[in-house]
Amino acid sequence: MAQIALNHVTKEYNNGRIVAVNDLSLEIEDGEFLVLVGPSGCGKSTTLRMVAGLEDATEGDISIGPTRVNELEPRERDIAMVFQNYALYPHMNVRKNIGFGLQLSTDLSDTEIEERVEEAAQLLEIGELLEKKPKALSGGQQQRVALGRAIVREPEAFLFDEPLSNLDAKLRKQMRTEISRIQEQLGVTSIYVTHDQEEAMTMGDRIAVMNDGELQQIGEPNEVYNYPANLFVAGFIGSPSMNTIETEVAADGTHLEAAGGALTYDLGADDHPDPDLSPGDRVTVGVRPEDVSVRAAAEAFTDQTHRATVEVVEPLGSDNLLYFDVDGASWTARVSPAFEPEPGDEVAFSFPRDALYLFDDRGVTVESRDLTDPAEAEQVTAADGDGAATR
Amino acid sequence: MVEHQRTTEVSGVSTDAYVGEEPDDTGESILESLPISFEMVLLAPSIITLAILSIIPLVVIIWLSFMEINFTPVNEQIFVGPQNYADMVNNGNVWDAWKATVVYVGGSLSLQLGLGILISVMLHRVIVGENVFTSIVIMPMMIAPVVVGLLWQFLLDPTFGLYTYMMNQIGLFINQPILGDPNSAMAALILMDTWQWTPLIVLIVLAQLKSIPEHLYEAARVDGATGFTQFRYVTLPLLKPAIAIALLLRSMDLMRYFAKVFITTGGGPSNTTKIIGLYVYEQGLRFFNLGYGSAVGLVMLVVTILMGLAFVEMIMGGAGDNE
Repeated sequence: MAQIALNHVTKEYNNGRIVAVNDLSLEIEDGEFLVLVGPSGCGKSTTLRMVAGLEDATEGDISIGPTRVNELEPRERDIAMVFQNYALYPHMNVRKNIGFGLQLSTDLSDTEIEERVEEAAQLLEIGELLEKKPKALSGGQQQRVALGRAIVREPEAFLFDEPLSNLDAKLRKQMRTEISRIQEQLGVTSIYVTHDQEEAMTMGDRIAVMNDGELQQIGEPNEVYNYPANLFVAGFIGSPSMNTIETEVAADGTHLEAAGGALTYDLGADDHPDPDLSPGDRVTVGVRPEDVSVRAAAEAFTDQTHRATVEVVEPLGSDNLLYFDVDGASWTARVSPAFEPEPGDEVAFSFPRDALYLFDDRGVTVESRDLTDPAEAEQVTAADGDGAATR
Repeated sequence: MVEHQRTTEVSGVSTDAYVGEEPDDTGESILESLPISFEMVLLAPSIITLAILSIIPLVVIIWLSFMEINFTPVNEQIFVGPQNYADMVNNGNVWDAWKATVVYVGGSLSLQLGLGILISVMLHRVIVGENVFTSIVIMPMMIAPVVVGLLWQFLLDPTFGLYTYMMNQIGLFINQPILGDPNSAMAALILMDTWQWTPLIVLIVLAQLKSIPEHLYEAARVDGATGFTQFRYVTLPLLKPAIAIALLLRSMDLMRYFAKVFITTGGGPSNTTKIIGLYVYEQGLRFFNLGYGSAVGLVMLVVTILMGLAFVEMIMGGAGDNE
């Protein structure tokens, strides 16, 4: 087991014309499960491949344990990697696939290799598949074999490159818990790359959000969710995405006004301390869909009420998702399944001052939602909860 | 229909719904009333062509191999039973021809396969201008075998051949022409064929190389493989099907080889390069021993088929062994 550290790592392609990873510094603690998450092309896979040694870093240092590994071949780094498409050797049966790394990189005898393979197979419940060729296995079974190949090596670190992307949704959730369980059991430092924020939230001890080759934020899942560092993280983490709208601080310094006038918001409500804003500042307002309360248009809220026309209703069973347009921006509200407006219906919506996120014109977070006073948060819920369709 | 109803009743489902869905029996075409299927009609042209081109000559050869035919004014055809085959076993010349064939086929195959894999692996690594290199490499393949024979005879000519000149410069073949020496003549023939047909193996192997996914090599590198072990444990096993096909094609071709040998050495010196194809030609078309020639030719066919099967079995480990 080892700590992994990336120190000002940059990866450029085509003589610097394409910067895949820009000045990335990360430290992954011994035994930690770090999830690298971001949209396609954000450099997360490149980062992982640099740690694996499949790509060379243009600048910066990568170390595994006390050793700087930049110049080492993948086989010298003592890591194991699980690939998105499993990368099982098609001509070897499961037993040989799992034992291949041991055969090449250790001096273990055949019987010892055999024992380790059996052990790994037992842990993954693929004991009865050992004599089969990968072609005869289902996607989930192939993924287990790929995991077995990594586990059996007992490496310093596991590297996962979107290992669940090729599985169907149900299997993905099952394997998600499986991987978490095994990682916890073995306590091996792990880096897990995914574009799925739900996977990131549920699996990671910490998650690192990347975009355009740069690290946006690193922290525990709840921290990243509740206190996003910027507009990108706020929009990327959480499903459905956070609702946002661009506003300008009005002349009185406490009101926010959207450009089209569809939404004004009084920051002074609820005796909330004012953020450091001056009239004329451009501010992006963000609200999570679960913080938006919606009622039929005739009913008014005690808080500030806004009106919109429902465009789409998505029933999820446990909740309904309402989509409506707020001054050109598409907003989502997660409401109780009992509240089922028709598309085209006018509704009233409101969001508490506490739930508000504010981002400045560079997208940096000025204010995150207030979770400090649970009693107050409860009061707000209670005030909204009298028979109305809120959450 | 009765059976159908019964089964549905057993399963407790109402039969009525199913009865109405039985396929309609009317509207049968004339084709369907004949005892041949549509598939047979589609296959007929190719089967008839194959029969004319391949099956009938084969039957004729089998028939000929049991006959003795004398091209006299009366055109004698005598049935001699297995006499031709008995002659073959007792004839030392045919065994010499088989020995020469083994050397020729074995030498050419191993040289071509080794070189072919080496060149294709190298070509696969070329990043810029791969197409140009590939085109250059496959050029010899496009030349007619007779022309290749003539070309090499010219290059190896004892008086003005370029290669002879080069060999002479390092003190070789000064007293003996290359194609006139029993030792070097066979080597020269093998080189000739290798020069012409290695490109085919390169093409087949290169196509297979391109189909091996890059992530397998990445997995192998992480698993601890060096360049050589990657080749040994990943590339080579995955090239097996291509190698089997290349060996199959080349072995069949080499077994019945004729043109280049005929042009360059004519089987000499002292029959050292008289491979079985040339022997059959001589027996049948020079000495007009049609019966005996056919018998040897048939044996050649059987050996070729057995060799092909052996290659496929050896390398693929039997078809359908995927589980």
